[in-house]
Amino acid sequence: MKTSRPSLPLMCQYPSSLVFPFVLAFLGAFTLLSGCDKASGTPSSERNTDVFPPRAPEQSNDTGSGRSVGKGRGQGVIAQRTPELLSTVRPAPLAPTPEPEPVVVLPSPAPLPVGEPEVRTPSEALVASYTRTCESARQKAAAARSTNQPPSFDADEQTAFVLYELALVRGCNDVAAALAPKEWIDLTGKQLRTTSFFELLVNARTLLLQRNLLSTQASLEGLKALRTLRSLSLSGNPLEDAEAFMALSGLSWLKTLALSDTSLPVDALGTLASFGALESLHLRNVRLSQKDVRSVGALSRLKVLDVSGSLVTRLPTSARAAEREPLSLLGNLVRLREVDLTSTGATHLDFLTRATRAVEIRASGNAITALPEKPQWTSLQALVLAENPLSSLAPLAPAPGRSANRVPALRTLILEGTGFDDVVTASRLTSLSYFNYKKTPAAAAQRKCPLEDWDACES
Amino acid sequence: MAHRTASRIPFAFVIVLTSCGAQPPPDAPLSRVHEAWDAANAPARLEWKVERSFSKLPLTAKTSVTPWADSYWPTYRGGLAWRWQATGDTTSFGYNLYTREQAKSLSPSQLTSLSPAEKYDILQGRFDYPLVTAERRRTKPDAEAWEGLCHGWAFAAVNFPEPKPLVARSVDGIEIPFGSSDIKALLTFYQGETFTPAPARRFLGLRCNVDLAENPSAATSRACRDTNAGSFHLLLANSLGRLDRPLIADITRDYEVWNHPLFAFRTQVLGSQPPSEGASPRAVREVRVSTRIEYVREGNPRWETSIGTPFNYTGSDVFLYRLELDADDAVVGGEWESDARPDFLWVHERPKFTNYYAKLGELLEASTRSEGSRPE
Repeated sequence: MKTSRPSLPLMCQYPSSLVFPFVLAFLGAFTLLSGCDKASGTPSSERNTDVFPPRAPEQSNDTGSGRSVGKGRGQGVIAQRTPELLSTVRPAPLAPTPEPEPVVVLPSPAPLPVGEPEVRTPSEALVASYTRTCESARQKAAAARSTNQPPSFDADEQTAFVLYELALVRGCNDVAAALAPKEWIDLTGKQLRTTSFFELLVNARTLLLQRNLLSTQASLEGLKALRTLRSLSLSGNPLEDAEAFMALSGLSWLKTLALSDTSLPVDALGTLASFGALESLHLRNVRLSQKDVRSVGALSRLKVLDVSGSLVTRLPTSARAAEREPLSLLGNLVRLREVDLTSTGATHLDFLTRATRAVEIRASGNAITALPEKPQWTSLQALVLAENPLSSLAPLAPAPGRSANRVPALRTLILEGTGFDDVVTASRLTSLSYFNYKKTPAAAAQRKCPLEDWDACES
Repeated sequence: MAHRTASRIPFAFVIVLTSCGAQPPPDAPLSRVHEAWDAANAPARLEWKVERSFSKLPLTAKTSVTPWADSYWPTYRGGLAWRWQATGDTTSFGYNLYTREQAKSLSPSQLTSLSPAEKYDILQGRFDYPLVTAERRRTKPDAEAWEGLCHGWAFAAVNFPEPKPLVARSVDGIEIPFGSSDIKALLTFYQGETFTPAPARRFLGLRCNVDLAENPSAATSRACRDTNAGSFHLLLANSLGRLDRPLIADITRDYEVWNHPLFAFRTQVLGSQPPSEGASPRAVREVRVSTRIEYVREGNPRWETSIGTPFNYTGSDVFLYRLELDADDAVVGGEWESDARPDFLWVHERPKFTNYYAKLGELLEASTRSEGSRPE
């Protein structure tokens, strides 16, 4: 069911016997611009398309390509090249304001991790320690069952027992061997208070820890050993410790990280820059400082960003214009495919102007009054802007003298609650295949069919 | 020109959706759909303010108001021109229409047996019978048995309270007995056949317009494999569970359209597993669920009300599917495991009673306010 991918340059698999310097120079330059992975010969677009499926282990030493990627089945695949390597080192465009503004220099793209992480095996001491704790937990569980009471585990016992249940083995001695090959581990809602013994999960690539009770740096220490992790979700944990996030700093190969609905204090995301491979970041309903947003903005490989419901602490009014809109610091994220800015207090979307690969932008419940003047949203299919004080949709309309829409792939535009009848008409949005707004134009409110003139209704 | 073209689209939808039926869906070969939703299946098409987090959505819900059952006013019987209480040939295609003077001399029993369309025209003093004429033009005796006005009934049953029987006095002083189903028929017709602009109707999923029994290979076509299971679950749980609002769905997968108001559901989580091949790129896990939906069904027209009686027929179906969840537990896609699935979901806002239908608003208000009261 996969959608066919864009055709790729044959040069992606050039023969290694080519030795002429000018040929090599040409190939090197071409590879940089087209996204070939020189080492493997694998087209970067192909790797990018499969970035998210957790069961598809892959390399992540892509140095960046100018090609956008297909979304997968059911979605259009849009191939295009932009000189992204050049553009990503430029500052993001600023919000248009009457007065000249200083250029905001965004952080450099985060460095990528180097080399494959070393896969370790749990030490004998760890296995022995685990087995002891597991046996203790099993005994408590058995005793609790006989009295119909819930077992009273300490934090380590709780974790040990959860891992025992996960392993589906008869005895605690077999847990380590059973868990070692597991790549996908779902420990959602297990009331975990610590990640001790997680070193047993030596091959974990996806670890789902949503809705547990992890709160401190110490409680996350067990994650440090999981160098093969690609996806980690800690959403819904009461992470209150300002240093808690530090425990993750070694997981530089992460591609997906979820920290939504946590209690992380502001400025806790300073070490995000070490997650150079991150492609999907979930930060719903957290408090973010300008510094946090700047850290997010440095993750130039991000494809999915969800900061909906997150309150961004703003600088005093004396700050520069761009900083009055903290989300402007996300202007470097030109690879974004899906971005959710719902209820973040955003006042404009100019920082997304260059998001040529964006497929869906959700920005409802904000203070957005206008769209970017010339959005380069060539891939955008869905734009959700409900409950914003928008005054114009002109950027979505065809440019003067052109029949094509500036946002040609747009299929879903949600404007509910914006009171938009006249603007929709004035902006010539009739080429949109679909838009949805609640208020019905009064002139067309009711037609008296079929009683007056059935044929007229048909025409 | 563009405007004229655009204005035809809603009408086309109406024609396409004007259908109901009693035959069970054919057993088509298994077609597994697993993917992030496309533009036609994005939940925002029906409701943009959805809670997407699976863990925050209810697993069971029942709306506080139960929709009312009624006929789908079959096309082959003449729709609203069907004299449903008369004996003998009750279709709308043969009987003669009464003049004003003849109508004044009819007994209460004879007036009772008139069709809903006749009663409404007489109520307005329109002995040129515009509604009967329109219905005779719209319907035909050789229509398929499943064709009717379920697209109007399903929404009317949700958008309007159940009317009670009453006697209404016409502009000519004729006292016309209306049964509950007479008024329901008028509401059904008005909801389904009176045209409102496109934004008043919003659809999720494409209509499968193929008889899958005859053409099973079409089960994998885009229109026949959706609605996306993830979108369906999100809208079901949000609409019934969070918004306390029934959800209208064509619950049969192929060319027959059976619109029903879904008013209750119960989801059972069967397990959690890694995303399947081809899942949404955002998915980090799948939950396998079994969901039982309950909906109100069509029945025979009745003089008395149906809610609270065994005549408020309900039905149920069980769907088996996987929900694709992202790292935040948000539903980002879905995959059907059962062959049964809804063909499409849609919303249709409640129309205002204007023009020829202004009187219908009065009739409804009087019938729900107190039994037996009369509109002015």
